[in-house]
Amino acid sequence: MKKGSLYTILFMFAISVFFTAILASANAFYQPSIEKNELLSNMKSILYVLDIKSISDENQIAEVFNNNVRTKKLNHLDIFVKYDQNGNVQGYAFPFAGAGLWGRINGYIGISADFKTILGVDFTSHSETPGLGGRIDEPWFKEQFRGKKISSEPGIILNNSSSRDEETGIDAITGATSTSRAVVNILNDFINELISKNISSLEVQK
Amino acid sequence: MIEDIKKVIYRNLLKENQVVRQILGICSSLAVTNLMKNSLVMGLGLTFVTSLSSFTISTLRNYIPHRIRMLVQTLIIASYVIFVDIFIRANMPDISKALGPYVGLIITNCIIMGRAEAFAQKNTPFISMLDGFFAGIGYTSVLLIISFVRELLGFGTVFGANVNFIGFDTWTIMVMPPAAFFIIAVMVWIGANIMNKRTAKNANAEIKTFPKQQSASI
Repeated sequence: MKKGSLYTILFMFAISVFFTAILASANAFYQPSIEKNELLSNMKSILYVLDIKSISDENQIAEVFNNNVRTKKLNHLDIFVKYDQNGNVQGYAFPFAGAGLWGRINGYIGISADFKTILGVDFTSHSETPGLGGRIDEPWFKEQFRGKKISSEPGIILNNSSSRDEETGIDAITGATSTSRAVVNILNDFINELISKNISSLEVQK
Repeated sequence: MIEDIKKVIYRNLLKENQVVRQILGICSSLAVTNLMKNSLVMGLGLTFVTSLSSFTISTLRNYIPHRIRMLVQTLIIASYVIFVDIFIRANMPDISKALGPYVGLIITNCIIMGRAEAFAQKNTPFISMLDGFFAGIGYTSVLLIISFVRELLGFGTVFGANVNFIGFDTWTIMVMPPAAFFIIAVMVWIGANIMNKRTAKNANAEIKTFPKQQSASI
């Protein structure tokens, strides 16, 4: 079957238009629910790092979020402020990002109102090896950060066999020391940046 | 027709298994096989895409100009993969997070292109779809065997359930991609052995009964 160039070009054009149209409409159709999923998972993360009791029911997440947390802007950064029932600030959640072992790690860190302790840490996206570095998603790892002291020196450190520090030390993941170290470095860099820029609770409240 | 279907099944699952016999799709066999769950989802995604893209390409095969057939195949395959990606992100956000970039990588899996080029291009839509489907199932079963060994030895679990009753030390190497090389190599070795014996046996039998046909088929 011999076919001319014009047919070839028209065919390629038609089939491209056809499949692109299908994908575009599928994308448009699913976009709202994809955005909703992303929003919900971000809210879940923020609630988690602010140490607000986790909710299993998807429908209540937005409600709990709106009751407890306000979004503010600080130097183009979205930050999230947690209030108690009387309107007192209880903590802040900041987004952070940095280089993991294989790719970028994004997440949120919750910091207490007096900027002295970490309320919680959560990771929203990363590309670490599933089963090794990917275990930073597991609750036992993330829970370790709660209540750790904020300081520029030594910052958060990894425990080793000879020393355990309750105030600043966390356990690394077995077989994933590089990822554990990367996470600690990202968080320390972020904390140092907060300290160096002198960002205090007052400035955030403005 | 039934005979054809049987042949397609046998060929794709055993005789010309994509991973073990044709050494295709090795990249993803290394990447996603440290947990059985990841392997299963990846395998099902690939099976879905291979069946549908083979079906579509076979339907269009008489209209696709020969010179640009690979462009068209890639376009069709990519469309299905992107659709799967959008669908999973919208309806199963947790699985989408666990799979990360792997879904997009289905596009580059040579099995799909291989089936399109080797089979769908020359056969009718229905049998092409079956061919794609069983090629995917053959791939999935190899992935599951590899990940069974790796998850069992690397984590002491099967599909996430702890089976490490005697408390052996888990092997970190099994969690890393290189471990899949060893397992794939052993499977290729076994597969090659069985198939070589079988073809040798068939060849002997044919030489005895139909000597002329044998020489013609070489």
